[in-house]
Amino acid sequence: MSNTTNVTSMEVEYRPDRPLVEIWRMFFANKAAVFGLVLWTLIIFTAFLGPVIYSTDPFDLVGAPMEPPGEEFLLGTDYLGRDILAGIIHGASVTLAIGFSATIFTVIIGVTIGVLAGYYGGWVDTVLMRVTEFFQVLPALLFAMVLVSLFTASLYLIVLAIAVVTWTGIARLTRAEFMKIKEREFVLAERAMGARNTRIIWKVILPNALPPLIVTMALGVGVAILFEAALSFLGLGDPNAYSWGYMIGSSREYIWDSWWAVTFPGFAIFLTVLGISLIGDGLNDALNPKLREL
Amino acid sequence: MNSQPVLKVENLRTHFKLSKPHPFAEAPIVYALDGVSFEIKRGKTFGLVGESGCGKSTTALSVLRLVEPTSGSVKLKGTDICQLTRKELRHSRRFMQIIFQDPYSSMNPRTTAGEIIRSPLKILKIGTPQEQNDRVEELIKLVGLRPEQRNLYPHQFSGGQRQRICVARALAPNPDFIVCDEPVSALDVAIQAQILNLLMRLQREFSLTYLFISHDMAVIQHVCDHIAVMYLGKIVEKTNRRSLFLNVKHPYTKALLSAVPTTDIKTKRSSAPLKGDVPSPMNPPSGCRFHTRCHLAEACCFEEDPRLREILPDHWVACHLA
Ligand SMILES: Nc1ncnc2c1ncn2[C@@H]1O[C@H](COP(=O)(O)OP(=O)(O)OP(=O)(O)O)[C@@H](O)[C@H]1O
Ligand code: SF4
Ligand SMILES: [Mg+2]
Repeated sequence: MSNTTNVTSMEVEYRPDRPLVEIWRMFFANKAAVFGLVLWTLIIFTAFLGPVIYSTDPFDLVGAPMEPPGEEFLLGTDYLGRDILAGIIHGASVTLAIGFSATIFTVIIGVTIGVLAGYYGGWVDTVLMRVTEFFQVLPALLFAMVLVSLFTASLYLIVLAIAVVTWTGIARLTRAEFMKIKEREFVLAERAMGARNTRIIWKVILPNALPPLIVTMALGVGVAILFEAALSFLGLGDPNAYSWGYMIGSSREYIWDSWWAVTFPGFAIFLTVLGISLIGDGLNDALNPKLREL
Repeated sequence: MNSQPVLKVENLRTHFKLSKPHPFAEAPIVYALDGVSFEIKRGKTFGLVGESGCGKSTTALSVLRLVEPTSGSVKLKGTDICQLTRKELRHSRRFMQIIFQDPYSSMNPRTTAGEIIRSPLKILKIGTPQEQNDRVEELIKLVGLRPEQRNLYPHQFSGGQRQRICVARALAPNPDFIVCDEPVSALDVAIQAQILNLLMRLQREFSLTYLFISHDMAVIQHVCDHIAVMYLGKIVEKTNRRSLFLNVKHPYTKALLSAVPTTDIKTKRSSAPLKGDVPSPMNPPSGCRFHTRCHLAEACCFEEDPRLREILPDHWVACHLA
């Protein structure tokens, strides 16, 4: 028979509904996460205000080729004489834009598939999971390369290619959360009130599935940035978009003569991805405090 | 007064088909609810009592068509719920509501008490936003909460208060009929009486009709006008409160009653306490389903399923020896 007294045990359990203040407090108690946030504040600041303050066009040939870091060019110039610092500053917005827009596409594809599979189950789930597995076993970078090289490389295509090869993680996570949450009693209560599936999916289950999804999305931005860098490094980037990946890709042949031309953009990518990973981890701990204790 | 029952359930069956253990096997079937009939008059409380797993919640959900019944009919104010299209069914949800056992898990943890109480009005498109707002305020007072508490989240309430929110939510669309599936079983004993009294006060005020489910005979005795005792998906005894506690006939009911430590229950014949577990509803025992645990069982009990017979006026029993 069911227990008659023990309600207190439920009250200490995972509370997805803790007020934002408390989530923020936990986040800020995490030093690594705060470091990540500081990094990202700087990066975003650079992306928005950098070009205003330091207006040198990164495509302009402003100095002698392969000038080492020094007084005139703080981070040196590349093999064509383009200012590396200008590239880092102007590339920030391009790189972030790629990271965010690829993540948006990833989320749109992944969440849609995950919601349909997890909520409806049955043959819908079977079919969609087969498709997901198919995409999962494809070598992601290779597949992205094929996609990009089939058409002329443009930012849109790169963003789309990244989304096409990275949505499976979000899809699986969304599906798992939906399968779990749809069995909860408040979903039954919604149906008892006459709620339609659309309401139950978007207004009831999705908000409750959000915390783990937010974490994955944050990490997804980092993954997208790395993907773009990898594609650019292989020479498949958009030659008209001055991203950090493009900088590395264009200078990689001169790495022995001008280490600075690839190292600084590489370091920028490293810090950006590190920052977002730390933020993601911090969010994960703050949103699911129970998980950390395990 | 009005003699047409608000709810009339006839021969309701709900069988769950489980997934096959291997592709060539027959899918096992759980006979969770296996031919149940009862009716409830306006303003009355009909109690369903029985051990865990006997199909009480399945009855509750089937009556509201939150699980699809396999066969039978459920007439709410004359319309057969089982025949409605999905759209018609959604529309008729305003007349029937449910209160669950665990108030915390039956509320969306990301919405405030006010939003929770308002949700049936929003879903069923009852009233303008302003009217809905006023109704929420009225309901909050009605169930004994304070108006400013509408902005709090479920975890910020105590167990009893949470169940009050659920009561308010069920009441919001002004239903005729409310299913209460063990509404106090998850609460502290001290709080149980408060919620029961609230339910009974609201019933008088709005002439509500309740299907009240509990495994606790004392609670059932406190609130129900009519009572059905369930065992393995079937009703074994069904009568009014007075007759049940005065003329209890079925050995299973007697066993349940003997476990209640109140003094005003006169069990005429001595009864043995229940031994063993409820058999699996996947392959219920032959004949009388209770025979594996009945100390009176005779040869006929193993073969023939006893029909529910009216032994005294308004007192139905399914037992060969009654
Ligand atoms: N969706 C389902 N699929 C398969 N079997 C089910 C399902 N729901 C209930 N059952 C089975 O049906 C039987 C009756 O369950 P039900 O929940 O109605 O019991 P109950 O009387 O409400 O018990 P409790 O007091 O524990 O709430 C149980 O054996 C249960 O395992
Ligand atoms: S029919 Fe037989 S087994 Fe069933 S309750 Fe009556 S005496 Fe017991
Ligand atoms: Mg139950």
